Amino acid sequence: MTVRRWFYALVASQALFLLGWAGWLEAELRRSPTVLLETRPVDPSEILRGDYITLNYTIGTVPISAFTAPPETDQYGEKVCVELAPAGEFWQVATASPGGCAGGEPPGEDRLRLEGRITSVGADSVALDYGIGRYYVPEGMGTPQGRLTARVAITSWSRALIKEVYLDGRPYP
Amino acid sequence: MADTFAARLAREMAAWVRDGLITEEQRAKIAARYREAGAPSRFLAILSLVGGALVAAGLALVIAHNWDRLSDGTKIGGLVLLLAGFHAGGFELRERGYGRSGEALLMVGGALFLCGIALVGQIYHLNSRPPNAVLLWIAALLPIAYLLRSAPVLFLGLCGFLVWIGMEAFRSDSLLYLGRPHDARRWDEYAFLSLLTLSLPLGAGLAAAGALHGGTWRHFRRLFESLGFLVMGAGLYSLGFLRHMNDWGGQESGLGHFALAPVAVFAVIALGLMGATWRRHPADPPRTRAIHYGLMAVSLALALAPGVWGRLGFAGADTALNLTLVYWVLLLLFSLHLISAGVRWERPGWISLGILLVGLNIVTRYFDVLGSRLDQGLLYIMGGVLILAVSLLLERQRRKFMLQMTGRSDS
Repeated sequence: MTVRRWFYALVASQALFLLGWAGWLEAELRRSPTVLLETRPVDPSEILRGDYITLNYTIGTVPISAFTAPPETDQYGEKVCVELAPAGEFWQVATASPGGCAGGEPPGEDRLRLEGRITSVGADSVALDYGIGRYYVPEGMGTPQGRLTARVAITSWSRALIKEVYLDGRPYP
Repeated sequence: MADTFAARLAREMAAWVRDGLITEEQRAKIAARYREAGAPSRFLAILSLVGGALVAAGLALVIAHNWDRLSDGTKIGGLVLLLAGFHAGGFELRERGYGRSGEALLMVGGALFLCGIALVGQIYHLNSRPPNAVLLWIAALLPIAYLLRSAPVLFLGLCGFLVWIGMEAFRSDSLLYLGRPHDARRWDEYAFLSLLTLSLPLGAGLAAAGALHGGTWRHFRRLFESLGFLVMGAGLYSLGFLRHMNDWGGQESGLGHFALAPVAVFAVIALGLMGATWRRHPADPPRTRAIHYGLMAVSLALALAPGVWGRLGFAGADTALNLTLVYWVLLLLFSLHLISAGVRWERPGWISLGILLVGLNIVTRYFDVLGSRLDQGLLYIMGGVLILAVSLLLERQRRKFMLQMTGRSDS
């Protein structure tokens, strides 16, 4: 294969990667089950970082009592698998266990598994990051006033993708 | 590239005239021919760069103005088209002999892949691990750089590599994390300080890795070396402020918080690369090679010094001051060696970097040491005079070294 062919093959692979990645995420968003999550108000000084909203989910703080085996204080960055269950209007954490969600028994009926990483361990609770803390918005729309909720797709590989954010029940922005 | 060729041609022709291969008249005719051939291509290169920049700026303005009205598919599709267009344009221009314009377009194409990753991340609100995006970008850039033997694309990839190391250093979920174990959302000043010590083995490793390049990739060697020594110089220069930074975070005994394991791993990798490339450095004169390796080894040891000293219980202000003085001296020796080895091994980039570091070291130490002792007016007057004198003296020396190097390659 000539340099020309190798070069165009590499560029085509970059283009296909971007298109394929976007297509795959789009497909996951469409076919994965969704849950409605509640967010808590955060310190106004931390809400706006450029043109995205910082979302502080209630499922981001998990009580120690929900853990099958409580994590140790130095386990920052470690994976945690949580099981979400519907609780009224929103989904909440039913149980949590250290380690990833791969393998193990399938979750019970009306339950979904979601993987997060430990960001801090307190006396009574553990803070988790699910990789859905930022919601990008058009310029100048990063300071919504009101109650924010998020519809999130939970993929078959236990990751979360934000599908839509609501401000006082209406799609935002 | 054209300048390098013209300079080399001038040197070679001077030698040909001296050896009686061509006459002075023929030398002048050849020189005139290449001046004529070179002028339009340089002019065209500047024009195409200006034109390319205007088109890119116009496109950016149009896109930015209509960004919110574009659908996600249009955004991604448009970016992929631009990516393919810049790459194809760059490659074809290079093939037709417009090297500089081609390389410029290839660099824009390389940068667009990172924009593409960021765009998909923005559309789907992905934000779990930004360093992974940079790593993915490097993985896409390097094959193109090596396939096309493109130094500018390699430069982009190496810069990406340094940025990636920096990003990983601040993430507590990373194997390369250099801070103290704590809440991942908090800034850790010791991650930054440890990153300065990491820059020594990182730079030494990069410079040594350059020597692994031979054959058609020989010209990559100088880029690795220049970037590696720049990283080392920046690290040594910053560590010259250690005495001021030791009590960051309100802790007097800060040295004990310097990361040790990742710095040690990088030092071992750098040592391995230095060992593997020992024979690829010019053996003549042997003393220069010995000094080169000696300085690199001392730098690796001093990268570990704050962490080791701190853990041995010598973590106070006195140790920080002593280490600071050692970093000052090491920076001076390192700069002088760059100049000396640069002249002997014909590395103009090393000479310029060495001269810059000598000047920066002198001026910085003046303000650092006398800053709180002299009257402010006197400090500025003397500082200004010092900067002028140092820059004039060093520029004269640099020219002398360059001439010395050129003269030797002529003889």
